[in-house]
Amino acid sequence: MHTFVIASIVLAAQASPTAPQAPVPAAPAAPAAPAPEPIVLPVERRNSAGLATAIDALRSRFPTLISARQLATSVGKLPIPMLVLSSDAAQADARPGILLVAGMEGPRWSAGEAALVAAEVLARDHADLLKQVTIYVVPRANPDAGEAFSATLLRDYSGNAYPHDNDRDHKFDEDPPIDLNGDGFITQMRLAGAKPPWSNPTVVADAADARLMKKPDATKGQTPVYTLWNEGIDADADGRIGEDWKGGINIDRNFPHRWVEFEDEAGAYPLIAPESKALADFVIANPRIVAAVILGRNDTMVNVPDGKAKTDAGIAAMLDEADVAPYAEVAKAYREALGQKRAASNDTAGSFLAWMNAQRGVPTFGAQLWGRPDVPPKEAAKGGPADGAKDAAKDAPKDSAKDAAKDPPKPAPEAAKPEAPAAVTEGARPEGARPEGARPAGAAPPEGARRGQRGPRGGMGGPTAGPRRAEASTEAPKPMDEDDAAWLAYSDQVRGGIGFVPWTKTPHPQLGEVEVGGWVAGFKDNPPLPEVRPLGEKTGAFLAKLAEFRPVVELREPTLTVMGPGLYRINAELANTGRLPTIERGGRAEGVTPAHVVRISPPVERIKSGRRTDIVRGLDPGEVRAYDWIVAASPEELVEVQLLFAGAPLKSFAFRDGVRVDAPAAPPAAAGRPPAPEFSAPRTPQPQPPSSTPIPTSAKGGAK
Amino acid sequence: MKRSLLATAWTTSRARRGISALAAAVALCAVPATHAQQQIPSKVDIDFDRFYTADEMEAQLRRLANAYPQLCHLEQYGTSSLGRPMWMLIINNPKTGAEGTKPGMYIDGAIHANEIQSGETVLYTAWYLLKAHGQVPKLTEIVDRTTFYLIPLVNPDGRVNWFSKPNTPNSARSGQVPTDNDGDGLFDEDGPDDMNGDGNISTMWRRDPLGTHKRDPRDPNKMVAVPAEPRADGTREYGDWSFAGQEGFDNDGDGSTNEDDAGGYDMNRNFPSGWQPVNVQGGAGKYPLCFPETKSIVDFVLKHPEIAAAQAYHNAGGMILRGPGAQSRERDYPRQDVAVYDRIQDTGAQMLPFYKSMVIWKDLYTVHGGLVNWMAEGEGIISLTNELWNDKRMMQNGQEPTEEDRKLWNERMLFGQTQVPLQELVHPDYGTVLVGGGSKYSSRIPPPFMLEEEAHRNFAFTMFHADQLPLLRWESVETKQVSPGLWEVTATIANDRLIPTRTARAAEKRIGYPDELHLTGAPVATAGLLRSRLDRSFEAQDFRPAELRVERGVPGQGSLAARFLVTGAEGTPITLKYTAEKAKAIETSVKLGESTIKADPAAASAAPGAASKPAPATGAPPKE
Repeated sequence: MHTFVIASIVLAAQASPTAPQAPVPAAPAAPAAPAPEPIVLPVERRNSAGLATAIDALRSRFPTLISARQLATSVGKLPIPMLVLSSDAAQADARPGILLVAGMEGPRWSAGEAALVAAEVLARDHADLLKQVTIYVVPRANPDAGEAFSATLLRDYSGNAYPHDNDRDHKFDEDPPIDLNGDGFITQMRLAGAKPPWSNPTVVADAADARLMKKPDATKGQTPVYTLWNEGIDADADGRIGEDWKGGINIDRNFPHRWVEFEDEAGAYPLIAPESKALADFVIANPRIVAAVILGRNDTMVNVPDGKAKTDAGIAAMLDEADVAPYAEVAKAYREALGQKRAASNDTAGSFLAWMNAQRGVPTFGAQLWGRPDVPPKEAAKGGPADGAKDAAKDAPKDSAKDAAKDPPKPAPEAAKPEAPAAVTEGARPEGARPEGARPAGAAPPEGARRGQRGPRGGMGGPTAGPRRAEASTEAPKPMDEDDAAWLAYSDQVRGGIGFVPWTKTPHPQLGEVEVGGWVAGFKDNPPLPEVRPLGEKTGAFLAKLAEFRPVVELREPTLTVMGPGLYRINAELANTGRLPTIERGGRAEGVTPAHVVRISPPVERIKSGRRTDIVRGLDPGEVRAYDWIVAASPEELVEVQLLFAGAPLKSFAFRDGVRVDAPAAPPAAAGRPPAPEFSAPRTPQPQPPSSTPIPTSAKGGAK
Repeated sequence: MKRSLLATAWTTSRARRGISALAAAVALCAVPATHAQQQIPSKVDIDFDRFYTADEMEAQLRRLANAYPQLCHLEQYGTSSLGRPMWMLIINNPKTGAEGTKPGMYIDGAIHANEIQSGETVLYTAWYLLKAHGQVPKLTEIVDRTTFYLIPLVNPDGRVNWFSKPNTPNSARSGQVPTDNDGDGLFDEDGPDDMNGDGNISTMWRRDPLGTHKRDPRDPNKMVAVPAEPRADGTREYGDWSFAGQEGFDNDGDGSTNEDDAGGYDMNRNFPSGWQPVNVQGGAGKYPLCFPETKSIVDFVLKHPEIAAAQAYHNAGGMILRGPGAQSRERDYPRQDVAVYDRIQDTGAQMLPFYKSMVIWKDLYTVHGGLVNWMAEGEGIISLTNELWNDKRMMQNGQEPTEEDRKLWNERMLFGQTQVPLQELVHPDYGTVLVGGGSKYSSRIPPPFMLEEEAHRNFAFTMFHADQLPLLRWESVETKQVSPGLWEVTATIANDRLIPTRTARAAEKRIGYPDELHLTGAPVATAGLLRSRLDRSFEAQDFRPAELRVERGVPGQGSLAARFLVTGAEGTPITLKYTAEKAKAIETSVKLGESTIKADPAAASAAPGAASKPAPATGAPPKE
């Protein structure tokens, strides 16, 4: 706990003046013991030079425990560094390994920071563990996306720098989203009653909070009011707005398991992205990796897979049912360590996570670090203020307007003017007032959402339409997407409104006047900066715990019984005394990954009973395999029982003339293939970015 | 008489080939149907009564490339797993357009290295096309309007293994990356062994007093099963030998024999569309395109969107196969595309004796991750696989040969060349064994004397396939004044071949770029596609109407109609250009007020005066 407090203080001290002033969680009184100086001071949106600096700092503080390699180079020519935590760099790959991967997405900057902190914690507090287990830390698996998000313009996008003609017009990146209102974010635009040739309306404002857009409820006679676009213009005169941007392939959609063909971000074929391929090849080349944790968009810690989902071909979508129990134990340990209670659920198709479990059989866990925090319950239901507050207030409980006044974000001045286009909520539109050319309710996705392109996040409601309040009821309307509404409440009440840019009238060169607003990229993905280091520390502690869970394969001391002249019965046991399987079911097919091999030395014709070689593809925790050999051997012959892995002997027992003797010295275990090239940090000194480009707390209408 | 004269004229005119070719072509067209194939000279003599090793194949490709530099070049498109260069011969006539400006056809062979004649079939294709260009009008036309990408040996490492090492007709199918098939951490440590040193892996029989077989007293190379049924007196007859599997030892002493051979995977299960991991699809590889052989092809094809047809030769069985490889992917073959496949495959069944038109999963077996499946499903290319050679070719009557027929075929036609006499040897584990049987040439492969015919027939069929590549022409361009200064320009683009410029699959999945129809020369007020030239209204493309996007392309043996409303004075020249990834672009110019076809004067006029004419009751309202 003491480190926690100190870290918080240090962080508060180094945080930029405009950093969010979120309350630091209260900590109990710290003991007097001095805390070690933190090495990694998390920052928001670190660029690659900053990443290199942090890695250098870790290496120079722990030169005997931390080395770095370069896993690959990104499409955008940035290095993908990997920290190797081991007491002996030369032996690192010959020991059981645990892989921690972060930074597959751009906006989720906190994951990479937490990974660096975790590396620091492991080196600082778990040097003994690193004599047995190697921990590989990839803090930024998708450096192009990370670099893009460390720039000044924030956008919810995680593609690498692979060139991509999104709108198939032979021009690349000619119509990117544009920050029309100059707030530093790419959000969304909405316009009521857009007419052809522009896209027809598809959504309405949610009566529960007019800032939230939702599909109209056709059963209630609602018709679409707003068209939603990415923030931008139609630079290429094709009628689509902000639809062709830089990049790329989302590397976490580019893995072979349940890869989605023809999805824009998934790549032309699995592992076409060098970033994805580097991770895959590293895992395949290092079969001693026994578990992995991915800090990113996917969660298996809070919502543990039940193992029931199958692919079209009948194999596990993520995890086989038989592997769930040990997996759930790890997830529980994570929840206990991090305290995370809530997590967003995302599609794992084409993810590193799904591939690792379902095709490699490496127990791999998806962790989001944090989930949407609770807000005081009586506040949670309230709609936040925005332009359109008038309508929201009309439908909301009485104190809403008062709340709006005392609880910013402050509406932009022009939005408060009477002539400003008030958001048209679902209840406010007269029945039958269908705009010209309107399509049936909910028929059209938001602009930019076609052909698998991910639409701007948060614009639409969730998958299920919530019940709409009765017209005459005085109850507050229920939001269609309750999670979004709760995020909004959290943003309004705890974070000073930084999470959502209120819809604000903005001139548009083609559409006349639109409203710009929406979720701030990365807001839902990252905890407040002061919480990142503590979460990273806990992640480090959790990884140490995970290392204790690792599978431990033991060949137990065999027993020998003389059955006749030169005839022996030899019994042995192979056991996994760890708490994870050596290989999950998904990786147990022949030839996927090296198996454990138990063998006895006499030639087959003198093994009267039992198999000479047993290839053990996967051993569950607690599983014991018993061997019962009857062998004929001459008195001078050495009879050896061996356990091997990947062609190298791990353990050997020997008998001669029915008596246990020392086994011949086994050659040292193979140290794996030649290590990857040493990671060399770019030497150009570059200041850390956050002080110059923080997420402003005062995003239009934010707290003052 | 006429023919022989022509042949003479032809021979003497070789020195002036460029000029005389056309004359000869014209002259040949006048010749009545004949039965003999014109003997046409080649700058490179290649025998097609023999098979070529990887090195020899490369040398033959080089000879062709050197002899016909104006028509082809050799390209190294990758490097194999074991470091051999991988070669593609690209045939393209630059005088009729650069690569990429006309439709392309991809043809490969021997991804399964043991299926050797597929390599010669591709080599034959190159050789014949090059020699026929300028001499055979039909093939000249095909070469001139097509780019051919020919890969005789997709798997050169396997080819080297098959020719240089002992093998069976089925082995060295795999690439040769050392692979731990049995999961014991050792790589390729227990392959078969050529015990009798004859260059083949045949079968072993171990001496066994309770044997299941005995040697046929009249033919000691034939093993005859003894009946398991007891004799009348209740005693059981035993033979002297029992089957002991493939020739080889238990090299790694694990109790299994020959379980970890060189390689041990299937590159034709390694392509992306519908790829499944090894627990579903054996041999799939650790991930799609994990082998340089497969990845190089895919990377090449992705860079060549003009490829609209593909053939990947295999052996054996006499099949013309299309996808899908798995039932679950039936929906990936839209009805319109299936109709194209059917027409091409059915023609193949007519051209290739005893070949059948088949669908892989339904008529053969389930395949996940095959090359032609990726081509068809992932890229929207009309792709086929021919399984070369059918044993019915041994017979006069086209019946499936019996055991006896095969024996006679081997004795009388092949003089016993594909059979290795049984020989007694001592095996370290089994004691006395008989080793022998069929050599690696004993099945799947035509005898050399039939190779050329097999190659030619398949080449001819594949040229029929190539001839179906989209070929566009302007069917009509009509201009009609709507009001003073406002013109309706209606154009139809015809494709007379079977393959559309965009397959239904490509259109559905938005693969590659849509076709485009551009109008320049006059301002376009609005434009849109029509279902037919005679439609009176269209769905407008609101933005950039002068550049119509045609996602569905021009159908096979059909046409596409589009209309522009343009402003301009009568006589203003306008230009129309139709571009497609998979067809040669076409362009035409007309003047406002002119039409290339004569419209029925009685047909409804677009002039305002005629607008009051009542629409027929059945007329569909304009689409909203």
